[in-house]
Order: sequence, then C-alpha cells, then structure tokens
Amino acid sequence: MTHIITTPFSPPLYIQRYQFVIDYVRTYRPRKVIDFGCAECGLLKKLKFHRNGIQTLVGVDIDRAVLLKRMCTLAPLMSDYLQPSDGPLTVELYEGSVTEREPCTRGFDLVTCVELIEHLELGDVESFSEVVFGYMAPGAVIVSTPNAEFNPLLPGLRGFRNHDHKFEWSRAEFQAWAHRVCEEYGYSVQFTGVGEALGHWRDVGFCTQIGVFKRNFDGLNWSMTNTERSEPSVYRLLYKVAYPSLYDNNIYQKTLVNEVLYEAEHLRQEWLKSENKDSNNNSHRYYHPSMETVQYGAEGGAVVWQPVYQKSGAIFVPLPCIWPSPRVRALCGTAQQLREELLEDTQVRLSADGTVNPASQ
Amino acid sequence: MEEGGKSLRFARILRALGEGAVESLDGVTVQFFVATEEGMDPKQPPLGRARGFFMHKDEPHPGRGRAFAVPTEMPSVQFGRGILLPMSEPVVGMARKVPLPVEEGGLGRARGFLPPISEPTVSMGRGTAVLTERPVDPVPALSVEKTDIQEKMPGWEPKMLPTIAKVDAPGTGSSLVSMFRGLGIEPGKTWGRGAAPIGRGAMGDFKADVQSKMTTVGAAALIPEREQAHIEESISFLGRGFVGVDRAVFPHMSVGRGPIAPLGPVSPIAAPPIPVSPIASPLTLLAAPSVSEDAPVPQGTPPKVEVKMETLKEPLKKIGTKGNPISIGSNYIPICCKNEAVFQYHVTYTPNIESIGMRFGMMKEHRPTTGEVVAFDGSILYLPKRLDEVVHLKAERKTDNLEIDIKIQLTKILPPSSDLCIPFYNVVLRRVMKILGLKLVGRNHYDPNGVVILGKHRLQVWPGYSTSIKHTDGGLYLVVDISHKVLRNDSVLDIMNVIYQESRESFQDVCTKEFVGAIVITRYNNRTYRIDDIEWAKSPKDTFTLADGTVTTFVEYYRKNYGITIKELDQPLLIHRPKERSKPGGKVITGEILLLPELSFMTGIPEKMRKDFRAMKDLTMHINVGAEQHTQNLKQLLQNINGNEEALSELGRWGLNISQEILVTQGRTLPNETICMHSASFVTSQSVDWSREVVRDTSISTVPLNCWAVFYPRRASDQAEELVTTFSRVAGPMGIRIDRPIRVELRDDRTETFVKSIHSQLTSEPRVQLVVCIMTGNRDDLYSAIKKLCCIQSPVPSQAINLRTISQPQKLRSIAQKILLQINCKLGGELWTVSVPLKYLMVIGVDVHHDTCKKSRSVMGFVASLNSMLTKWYSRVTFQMPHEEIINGFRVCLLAALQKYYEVNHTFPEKIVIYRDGVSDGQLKTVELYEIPQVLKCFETIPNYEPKLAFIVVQKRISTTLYSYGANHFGTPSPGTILDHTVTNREWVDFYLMAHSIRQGCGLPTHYIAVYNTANLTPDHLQRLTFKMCHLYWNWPGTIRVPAPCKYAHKLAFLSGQYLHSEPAIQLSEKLFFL
Repeated sequence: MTHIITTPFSPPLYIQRYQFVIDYVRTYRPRKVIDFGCAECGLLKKLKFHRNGIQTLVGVDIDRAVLLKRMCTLAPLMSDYLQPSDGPLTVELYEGSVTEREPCTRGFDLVTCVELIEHLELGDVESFSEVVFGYMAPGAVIVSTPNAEFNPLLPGLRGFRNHDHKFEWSRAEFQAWAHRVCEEYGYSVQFTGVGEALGHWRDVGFCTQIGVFKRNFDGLNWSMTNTERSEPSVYRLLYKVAYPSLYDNNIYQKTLVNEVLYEAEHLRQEWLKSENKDSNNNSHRYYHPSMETVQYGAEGGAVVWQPVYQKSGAIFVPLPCIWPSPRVRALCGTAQQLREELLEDTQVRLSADGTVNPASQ
Repeated sequence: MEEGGKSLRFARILRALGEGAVESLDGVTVQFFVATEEGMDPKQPPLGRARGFFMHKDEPHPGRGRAFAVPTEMPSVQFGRGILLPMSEPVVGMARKVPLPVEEGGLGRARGFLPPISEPTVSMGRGTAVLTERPVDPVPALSVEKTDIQEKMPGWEPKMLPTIAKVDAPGTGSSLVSMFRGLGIEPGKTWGRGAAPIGRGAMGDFKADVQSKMTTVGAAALIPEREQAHIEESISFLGRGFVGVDRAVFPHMSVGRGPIAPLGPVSPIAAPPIPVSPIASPLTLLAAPSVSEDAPVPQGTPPKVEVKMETLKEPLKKIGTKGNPISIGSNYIPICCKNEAVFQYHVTYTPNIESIGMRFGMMKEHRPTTGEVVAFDGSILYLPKRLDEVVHLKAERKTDNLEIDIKIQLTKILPPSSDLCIPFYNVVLRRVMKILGLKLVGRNHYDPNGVVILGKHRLQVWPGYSTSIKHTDGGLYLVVDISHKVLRNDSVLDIMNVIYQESRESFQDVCTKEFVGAIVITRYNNRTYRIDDIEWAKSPKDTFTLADGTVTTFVEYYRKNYGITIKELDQPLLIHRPKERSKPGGKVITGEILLLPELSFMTGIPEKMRKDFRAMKDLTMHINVGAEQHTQNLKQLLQNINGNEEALSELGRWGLNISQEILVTQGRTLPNETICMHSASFVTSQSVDWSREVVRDTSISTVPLNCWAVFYPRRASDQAEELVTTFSRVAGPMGIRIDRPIRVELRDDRTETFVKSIHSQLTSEPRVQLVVCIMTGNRDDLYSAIKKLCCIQSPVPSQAINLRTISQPQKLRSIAQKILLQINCKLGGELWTVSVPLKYLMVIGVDVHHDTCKKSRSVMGFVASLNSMLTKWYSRVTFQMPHEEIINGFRVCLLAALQKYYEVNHTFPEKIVIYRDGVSDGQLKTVELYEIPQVLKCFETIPNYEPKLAFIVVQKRISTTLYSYGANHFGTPSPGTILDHTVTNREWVDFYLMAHSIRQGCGLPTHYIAVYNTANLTPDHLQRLTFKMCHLYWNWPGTIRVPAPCKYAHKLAFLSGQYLHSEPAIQLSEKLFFL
C-alpha cells in the first residue's frame, strides 16, 4: 500500500517505518512477533535478517493472493543451510482478518500494524482494538497511520493518500483513540513518527504517526485456559517454514560431527604426509590405512598430548587433538560435552579404552 | 559460451516481442513481466522495452522499416514504432520511400552484427515460404503466423535481381517478384527471420537457388479449405521449415546478418495470393499486381485488426531408417496445453507513459478486464482470453491526475505452444519450482530436503533439477535434468585464512589462483557470482555509492540491510564483473560488483579434492546417478508437481498440464561397424570394445623405433628398465619394431634437470625419434616444461609416464601395450580404421579450449584427415584473443589442410565434413550466417574448386538424456543409439547419437546439428558417418562420445592452451603428437 505516493523522503518512508520496527526489535528483543497487514511481506523479510532473537515471526493478511505470491521470499536461503544459525526461527503466514479472534495469535511479545488501521472502516477499528488489545493482549503493539495534518505538504495530493484508505487521522484523533484503548485494555502509549517536514512546516508533525503501546504490568497476565485452547482456529495457514538452526538437536549433532570428522580427516592427512616423507627415505610404505578413528584421550582436564597414531591398520586421532579447533569449540563449550555428544553418534565411535573406530568411512 | 548463447537466445525471443522487456539475469532470468509475479514493486521496476526505443536515436524513420514488412503479414503490428501502415496500402508505397530502413542497423548493432549501410539486406521471413516436403501429409497444415515478429528489417539494395529462377507457383505468382524488381529490392537476399511480404491468405515463397530440390511451393495454394477452423483468423502460408531446407540444400547461402554478400544467384518466387476469408480481401490486394505503386503512405494508423493464428510448421526431413528400432525413453515430459490459444495484444498509452512501472500499475488496475492471468512487458500483453479487438481503458496518472487512454489491440492469436509463449511459460515453471520449496541457484532449482553432507570435506551436495520448457519437433515438452550443486561450508575468508597459514609469502598469488574463476554464493541472497578478480587495496571499511546516491561503507551497508556484523575488517574484496548488458533506456551496465569474502560461500568441487581419488569417490557416488535413479528423481518431481494443488493451479492459469509420464518413443540402434586393422578385420562386439584385438593384431602401419631416449630419475631406474623390457616383449604382436633406447638416468627429478638433459641429448643426437620421460608424481610444471621443449623448441614426439602407473608389475604388461600404441600414433603410425564409402572425403574436427580463469586467450584445435582411410591427420592450433572470432584462425588452418591434402592425394577433397564442437544453441545462427560463408569463401581462393560441404555442430553439454526402455524399466541405452525425431529441434536437421558405452551414470547422448549440408548427405549418411567417426579415436579401443577428429582437436587445444601456451611446431603437424 505504499507505492502510490511519491514522497520526498529519503530513505523512502516505508523503509523508515520498517527501520523504526527494526530498531524497536533491537532494543526490546521480542521473541514472538506478529505483523498484521503484512501484504508483500516486506517487513517480515527485513525482520528475518534483523532477528535479534526473534523466534517466531508471523504475518497475517486478508489478501490471500498477495501472500501466496510473496511467501517464497521468506524461505531460508542456501546459506541458512550452510551455516545454521544459533537460535530457532519459524515463519508462518496466515490468511485472516485483524477483526477476528484467532487463538494462536495470543501470547505474542510484539504486534505490528504498519499502515493498517486506515484501511479499516471506523466500526472495524473498534473491533480491531478489542481483538488486538483485549483478546491477543501482546506485550507491545506498534501502530502506524498517516498523519492527515501532513497531507497538504504532499505534492499533488487530493483526498486520501491511497484510494483504499477509509480515513486519515490527525494527530489529535489518533491520540484520542490511542488513549481510549490504553485506558480500556491497560496499556500505556508513546507517540512518535517518521518523516519530518522541514523548516516552519515542522509543526504539522510526522508524515507517518506511530503509537507504541506497552501493556501495563499489572500481574493480571492472562493465562490460557482450556476453553480458550479449544477455541477453533479461524485463520488459514498458508505457509510455514522452520529455519535450520543449531537449536534443532539433529542439526546440531550433524554440524558437530561434521566438524569433528573434518578435523580428524585433516589430522589424518597431515599424519599420512609426514609418514610418507619418512617412508620415502626408508622403505616403500604405500599402504594407506583406510580406517580412521577419533580417540578420546585421558579423562577430564589431564590432557595427555598424544599424537595421531596407527594401530592394527587403523589411524587413531585422539580427541584432544580435535578439541583445539575453534569451530568445534564454538559448538560445544567443554571437552566433556564434546565427548558426550560424540558418544551418541554413529559415525564416530569412541573406542572402549578411550579410542574409537569410526563406523562409517 | 553456452551461457552467452542462452541469453542471446532469450534476448532474441524477447526481441521478437517487439519492445520486449529484456533482462537476462544469469542468462535465463528473463524479466519478462508476468504481471502476477513481481507485480508493482516500486523498487524494482521491470526493465526493458528498450530495443525498439533507443533505436530511435539512430534513425530517423524507424517506422518505415518496420512498416515495410508489416503489411505483408500483420499490418497492425506497429508496436510503437511510430508509423503504421494501412493494410490496404501496398507494400510498395512504403518501399519507395527512400531512406529505407536503417533499422536493421540498429538491431544489428545491438547484437554486434552491424551491417554496413552500403550492403543493406532485405530480410525475408523465416515465415515466408511453405514447404510441403512430404507430399504424404494429409493436410499441408495451416502454418500461418510467424513466431517472430520481424527481427530483421528489409534493407534496400540498389541492384536489380540477377536472376529470376523458376517460378514454381502457378498463376500470378510472380507479382511480388515484379514488385520487388521494380523497386530494385532484392527480396531473396537475406534469409533472416524477418517478415516476408506475404499477406494473409497469401503465400509467398522465396527461393534461394535453382538447384534446390524444394518441391511444391505451389501446393500451398491448395490450402484454404482449412480456413473454417479459425473463423475469423485468416490463414497464410508459410513455413519456417523453409529456412531449414534452404540451409540444407542450397550451396550458396544468402546470409542475413548483413556483412556477407550472397554468393550465388538468388531468386524470388512468389505464390499467388489466395483469399481465405472475407476479411482477407484487403490483403490480397497487397500482392496483386494492380496495386498502385505510387500510393502515398498515410501516416495514420488504421486500426484494422489483422489477426492470425500461428500454427506448427512443417517438420524438416531428418529421420533416418538404418538400424534396429528400439524403445527409447528421454527426460522429456509432454506438456499438454488446454487453452485453445494465447492472445497477443498491443498496448498503447495516450499520452505516452514512459515509466514502465507506471505502465504496469495502470494495467494492473484493469484486472477486472484483463483477468488475473497476464503476461505483460510494458507494451505487449499476452492473455489466455480473448478481448474485443480494440479495447479502450482509462487510467489516471497519479502524479498529475492526467487521464490516460489505454488502448489494447488484439494483434495475434497464437497457438498455445508458440515460441512467443515459451518465455512466460518458463516464468510460470520457475514459480512452480519455488512453490515446491526448491531453491533457485544460478539457473537450477535445488532441494534443501535432499542435501547430502560430506562433513569430512566440509561440503554439501544439493540435489536438484534443471528444467525448461521447450518446443521441439514433437511439441511442447518439459525438459528435466538432474543436477547437483556442490556447496562448501567455507566462506572465501575461511579459505583465505587457511592459505595464509600455509603460504604467507605468496599469499596473494595463491589466492588469485584459487579464487579467480570460482563461483560463490552470497550469504544474504541466493545469487551466485563468478569471481573475476580480487581487490586487495580495499576493505569492508571502504565506501561505495548506492543507487540513490548515498555513500556508505560495506560494514554499514550489511549491518543496516541484513543485520550482518562483519567480523573481519581487514579482508580484501572480491570483484565480479557482470557481462555487459543494457538496461532500459539504453543504459549499459558495466562496472564491478564488490563482494565480501566473509559473506561469500564457495561452490563447486575444491581443486585439492579433485586430485584426491578417494574423496572424489565419496562425491561422485552422490552425483553420478544411473538411469534408474535418474528416472525416479524425475518421476518424483512430476509427482510433486501434480500432487501440489497450488503448483497445478499456477500451471493451469495458462492451461498447461504436465504429464505424469516420461516420454517413451522409438529410436534406433545403428548397426555395428567393422574395424579394419592391417590384415585382420572384425565386427565390434556389443560392448564396442576392441582392446584385446588391438594388441593381438598388427596395426595398419607402424613406425620402427630405432632411436629413442628414456629419461628417468635415479630412483625410477628399476621401473624404467622393466618398462623397456616389457616394450620389446609386447611390440611383436602389434607389428612394431623396437630397438634398445638411449637411457639417461637423472640424478634427481627436478624440472631443470629433465629439461637440460633432454635438450642436450636432442642436440647431440638429432636422429632421436621419441623422448620418453618417467616422472615421479603428478607434476604439472614438469609436464609442461617437457612438452614445451619437445613440441615447440626442439620438435620431437614425446611420451610422459607417471612412475606410479608402471610400478605395479602385474599390470605392467597391459600398460606397456597401451603406451606403445600411443607412441606408435605419436610417431605417425596408424592403428585401425572403419570403412567410409565416401571418396575424396576430408573430415575436420574443431574444438575450442577456454582457460578457466578467462584471462588468457582461447585456443582452437583443428584436425583434418588427409587420406581416404581417415588414418592420417593434419593438425593445427590457433590462439585467439577473447571475443575474437574463431573463424579468422580457422581459415588459415583450412587452407593449410587443403594444401596438405593436395600434396598427399594430388587432388583436393570433393566432400568436406566439418565437426565443430563448442557451439551453443544461441550461436548456431552465427555459425550459419557468418562462419560458413567464410568457409565457402576460403574455397574460392583455390581456382575452380567447389567442394561439397557439410558443417555439423557437435554439442556435448546438453540436458537431453536417453534411457533404454523395456519391461517398464529404464536402463542405459546401448552404443549406437540414435534419436532423430520428437525431441529434435524444429529449426535444424539434427539428431542425438549415443556412440559410447556407458559404465556409470546416465545415457548422455551427443547432439549433432547439420547447420549446412550441400554434400547431399541424407540423414542416414550423416548419422552413420558420425557413428563411424566415433570409432576412430586411437587412444581408446572403443567408441567415444564425439567424432574422433573432435576429440583430437580437443586434446590438441587442451595441450596447447594448458601446457604449451603457444602454437606447437609445424613439423609435428602431421603426427598425433598431442595424444
């Protein structure tokens, strides 16, 4: 809904609005964020990069077609698979209306309604307030809407900024609504905006006015009752994707084992090279042992620096040799944890006496 | 090369759309605007529409050129060129206006073919003539509309036509001719894809040569009965087939792209106009002789709708008969189009709207009229539904509230399989792949769920598909190939760190070697880039300018846009230089894209790993899939598509329906060949392997080895002795006489030592026939030094042997046999041949080797046969700078080869068959229109010499796969399998031949395209000759994938480009020293 008016702002106003939300997320680090009226998913796409700890990202729009068209842009990138992130992230898109009560929208930390309410009929704004502030009751809500007082400054504009706008509020109107909402549902609000006019026009306010609502902590946090849980879902799930992350145990395990194996392979190669150098001087030893092994050394901190060695045709790589790898270290905090993780794995077999034969080569 | 060709082809397709919005990202991503796709994104205005527009600058009368061709077949296709020709107006009026189309110049320039104005061309359509090649055909099919709107404009030629050859067509057939004649225009000159002056219902045919066997031009006149099929659509006759035949039959090509003059007489023949439907009447006028030539050209735009239905063209004659029929499967999946037609409209905005984005926006507001399914590029609109012939819509320009009139005028009715539709079908296909959750990387889609992780090597193998929709002889097909992407867990920075630790002093050099030419994928999107250089002087702290003019540092940019914190502030930057391409408005993108090593992941198999046999086995296990696996993967994709409702509805929007079944059709297996040796001859076995026979029986001719030298380091002395003894033991049965060599033991295996002793040996004993070097390990530098010495400095055949290969006593015998055979070839001996009945034949193989890092020149290898047994080969190499035409060097080589042939045979060859490797689909036209005429010109330098020529393009890297099919099971086809229909190209005589036997993986045939054929070689001849040539590579006692001369040329080019870096000495040119 942002493309019609060419505003003289740089960066463009819609970018500034997104940036406002991103900055908010960076400061307050919400975990669950829902964006109403996400349309082309521009904000979600931004938030996907600027996660700052977001674990659940939900977009809701009434226009199914536009969601379907853009949903693929929210899919993980190749690099997300190559380097899984630390924290989990799930992205969901729903077809639904902000005036409907949808049980799964409850319990969010942040709800964003960027340039949304002006597309609702005034009557619906009431039910919107009721649903968002009363029913969903998120920790915070960001509502942005055009500031009608700014309109005279927009070149060539007659009427509303977009033909689908049902109203455009002045600052007073917006604030009156906001204060009413706060009173009714127990929120407090701060007003700000993006897009300032220059010079003596400054006093018309921001081009886009923004209200940031925060729930008053009154201890009366709603809890999910059984009846609520059994409420039927009214939104239609269109898209859901879980990003690969180390939070997922499988992925973590896989990543760790890969790092260990790589390191072991590397050490094995080094060892073979040095062996070959020696053998060149003495006798022919072209025999390449096909087995390799990760051995885990002495218990606890008493690190015995045992080098890679060969025993009965297999090459053994002591675990402490692997431990210095920064990647392995980053994945598990302690050598102890590394050992435990590897004990569970089938590709690396720790041997009984502290050495291991790999199951799969 | 392939890539460039592809984008060229796309560009061409789109150009055919008039002001096609062309952008080819990665060669494929044609940003052809399917409006449903990127919609109205204001940030990314779709590009394009350019070609037509920026031509205006160059030429004062753009409309003219276009209009000239217009009335001939679609008078209403003015497409914003400004001037519209009324359809009642004869062509003639137009043609008389003299600053005639310079537009060809504009077009040509855009493509790099600039026809000099002094040599203008008249372009006749590919659409022009009808060819009913097979009289059997029940209904000579209503081929109607050309697929391409004229790409070429007629130029004008101040000459008169030299001859008017036979006029096959009855009746008033020559009216058009006379018209042209009167105008001094030579209509037959260019056989481009231009539009031909034929009206609807009228059939015109322009023939290039009298010798042609082209039949039944007049037959076209019989058509009109079919007219009722499309009530209002008129039917005109044409056949793109014509071009093909022309190409195949006429010795003198009239060449389209301009600079080349036609070599022979060109004569036009026109068929009489046939009124087909009542609406057609104004058009019949067109061709009627009574048309006043003086009629003024009104500058108005008569909004008469001239709508034609495009239909399939007559297929070319390319089907052979030899061999046993067998069931063959291929990775082609039939697509059935449920829509009856696709409607093409031209959209004009009055007053004109320049901004493409705004054009889209306004069009989008009229979805109620157009429907949701739209393909729009800013001026050409495709809909699956029919609107009124002219629809006027209103829109308001938001910036100034100006009311804009949008006129949507029906211009064409296309069959749903029309070539014009293929680009947006492919867009739809890409969406479908996305819906299935596949990731687009480069041009292929990969499946994140099927990833195989090879932790040991820190890489991942992504299985995926390369898909495209093609219109082949058999109709519309989805071509699916299985593809694998190797991605590495390492960023470029990671690898730089490793390199730094290993070699601090030569760090920059090693990095350049490692990274330049590599493909990286960036962290923040799925785009891939080729690294062209490394910018050592810059770091992420440096600044660059964004599109809106703001200046920012890399660090800040990535933080702000992607929330990425750059950890290493002192890394150099990677440079990617995109190919030059023009954006809308003629703005040419050049410049560089700078990437951060930290944010770039490497793709592809690491060089180190390539050399590690075991590691490669881990990898190839996943990559090389057999026919069974291949078809299963393919079926899985089909199931996924057909099981996904959303994907189906996406396809359904254009009425596409992808079959569940893989194409199974009938192919043939060519008969086994007889291999002839000195006295023995035998028919090849089923496995086409004669490794036993070749060491048991005497070779055709051998060179006695009297004086030769072996060089080896001290530690290899045992093996050297062993090898020499084995040589003398196995030489007898092969008929080789071998004396004791001069043995030179070297104190070490340094390159210098080798070179010095070889050099001094060769100086002191000039009779040395052969140098054999035993090397320890795989040493490129040593190999290169030896080859440079022995191929350039002191020309002598040389054989390098890796110590390891001769270190296993149990294998030594067979290895010695193979080496000896190779040595015999290098000395000029002949091993075996097959019988080729053609007399005075010269077979030529050409291949080009490109260096991976693109910096150095590319090398053309040229190999030509000198005798009728095809056992003597003459070889040459030429180096060419990037972008230099291959043909320059080619002429030199060809003339030298002809000279040599004359010396040997005391006559010139009567037939010449050229196998040219390394030409992509997009370059075929270039070959036809530019290279071949040059080749023909070459012959002219020899007095009274007019050999017959067949020019066959050989394509190895293609996406077609063949399977044998039997008992509901797909397998690999046997050697000699041929497929010459259904999946073949509609524009050329071509076939797929799988000559080699398959050990592992899939049946990948080689694609042969006879671009030119005056040698009267029938499809059967071509196919069998090609198969025979695949038997003649002496380094392999079996069949290979490509004709032997191609393989020789490849070997030669590779050696010269990779190791010699210079042309080998001319003294070696008659020996296969490069084997």
